[in-house]
Amino acid sequence: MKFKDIAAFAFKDWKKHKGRFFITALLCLMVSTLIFAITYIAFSTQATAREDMRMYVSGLDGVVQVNIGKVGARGDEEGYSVMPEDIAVLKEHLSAVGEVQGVKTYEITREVRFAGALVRVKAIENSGVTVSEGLNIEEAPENAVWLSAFYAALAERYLHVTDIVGKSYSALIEGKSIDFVVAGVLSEDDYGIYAKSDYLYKSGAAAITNAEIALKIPDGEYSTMDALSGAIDKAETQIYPQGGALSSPAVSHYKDLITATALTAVLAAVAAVFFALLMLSVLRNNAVIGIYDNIRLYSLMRCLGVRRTDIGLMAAAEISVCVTGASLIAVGLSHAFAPLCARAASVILDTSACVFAWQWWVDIICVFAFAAFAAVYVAVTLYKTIKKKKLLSTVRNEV
Amino acid sequence: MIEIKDVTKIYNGGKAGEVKALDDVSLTIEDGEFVAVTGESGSGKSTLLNLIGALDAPTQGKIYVGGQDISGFSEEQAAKFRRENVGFVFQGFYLEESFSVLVNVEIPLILRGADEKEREARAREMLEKFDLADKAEAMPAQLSGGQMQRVCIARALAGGAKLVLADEPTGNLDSVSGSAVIDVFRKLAEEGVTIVMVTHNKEFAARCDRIIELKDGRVQ
Repeated sequence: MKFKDIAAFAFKDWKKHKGRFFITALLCLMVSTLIFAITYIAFSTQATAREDMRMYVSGLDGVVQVNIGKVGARGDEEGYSVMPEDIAVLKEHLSAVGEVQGVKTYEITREVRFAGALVRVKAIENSGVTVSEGLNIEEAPENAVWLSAFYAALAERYLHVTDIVGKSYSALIEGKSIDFVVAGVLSEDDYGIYAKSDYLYKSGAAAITNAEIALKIPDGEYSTMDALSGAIDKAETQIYPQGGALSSPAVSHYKDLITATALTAVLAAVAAVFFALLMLSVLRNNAVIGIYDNIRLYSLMRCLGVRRTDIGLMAAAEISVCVTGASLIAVGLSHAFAPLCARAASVILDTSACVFAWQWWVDIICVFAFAAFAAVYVAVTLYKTIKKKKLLSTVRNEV
Repeated sequence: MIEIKDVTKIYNGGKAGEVKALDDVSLTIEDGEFVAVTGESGSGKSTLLNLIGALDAPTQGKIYVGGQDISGFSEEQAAKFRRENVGFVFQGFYLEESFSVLVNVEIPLILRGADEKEREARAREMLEKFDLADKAEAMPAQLSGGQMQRVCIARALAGGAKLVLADEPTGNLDSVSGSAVIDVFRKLAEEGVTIVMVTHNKEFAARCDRIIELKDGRVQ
């Protein structure tokens, strides 16, 4: 008997085998299509997340806010204060990602007794105030302070002096004596002591409790957001060893996308493992998806006098035709259902972005994976039908 | 005639799981003899069938079938020997469920390269012989157990085999169907077909020409 007889049995009379081929091919097609769908939903989720991030940052005109918040003033039991050098550290980290546009706001909370009255110390950015009497901010020494008109009047009254401008004083703040010179009076109708900010920070009289830094990152790509997230994480370990928080709505959104994408990838991996196990069960049970038993036919053929190599060739030909054919059709089907894959990704991420991530190499890898499965199937087939010495026992057990 | 001379079969020789399935077995089976091989599980019955059917080779000893030493056959020779001389009958029938009864019986002829007309004629002839002519176009699932086993026997003989190796052929059948299968074998033996049947059924074994009882790989 020659191989052409086997080939004739397998293919020439294929009409008599159509049930066998049909079941094998159909089941291969179903599994292939499912795996392709899972793969493309996972890739589309990633692509959709990228597009969503790009749209999100674009909606902010490329300017991402990074906030320092939830910090208490220095000396508070529950918190930790941020000092200007901390802000500088943060800026340094962020500048590696994008163009840092500066700190927008400081909020200072520190109450001290001065001249017998409870007053609020405010740090300033050395701008935005007008000196009505005394030295301007640029001309004043480092330990200069400016009083509001209300406090200037209050001080003169309690200290029994007619002119406090230019005089040196000390104030007890958090148990610490702070020396300063009253450099002038401000025109604002406010209650407080103003000073050159660095002096108050350094002396511990003031602390930054909230800050907002704007970062220009026009592209909004995942790589940029990833760098920004990393920079924030790194800064956080340096700036907030004792608590507090750095946050950015854009980074939070990015992390949510990462989480959803990762979950999708995990689910896809679980599904892939499931189908891999299904395939293994096919191999273990000597059947295609437990329904059709090719091994039984091959074993029978060996009993009927077909050579090992001929059975191997027949097994290889059959499974290759079915699996490779089915996987190629599945590629086509998955592309036909591309909008559904993209929509699924959109729903998973709860976004209006909707991208189908076709990657030529995914198709190639998947087809090769199925071809590899066919090779494993053939190898196991050969092992079970050819190498197995107790063939009749195998047959009996497997039937 | 089948002559088995001093045959020993060891699986996993020299390894931890070494099993001596047959231990210095010698026996002779005449042409047209209907022999039952009995014994406990693991006594070596299936191994004996494997060796007679040239599906495996003995570790020691010789096996002659029709004067031919099959114990040293190459894979090619063994395949040719099975194709031309041996028919197998299985406990689980082993019919291809997606093929009709007729095609199932045709399989050995297809593998021999017989042309379509010849193999169909031969398959129908065999089905008629076993009272299955009206089931030729039926699918195996539409048959009873007894009918399926008769198809299996028809397939075993379609290629002109003069030796039938039956592995528990009545194991999946009720007593009536099983008895009918034994009747078929009986008739075939009278026609000159040698039948070696592994069975646990003492009643059916008693209806054979001879019982070969194996225990721990030895003939009792």
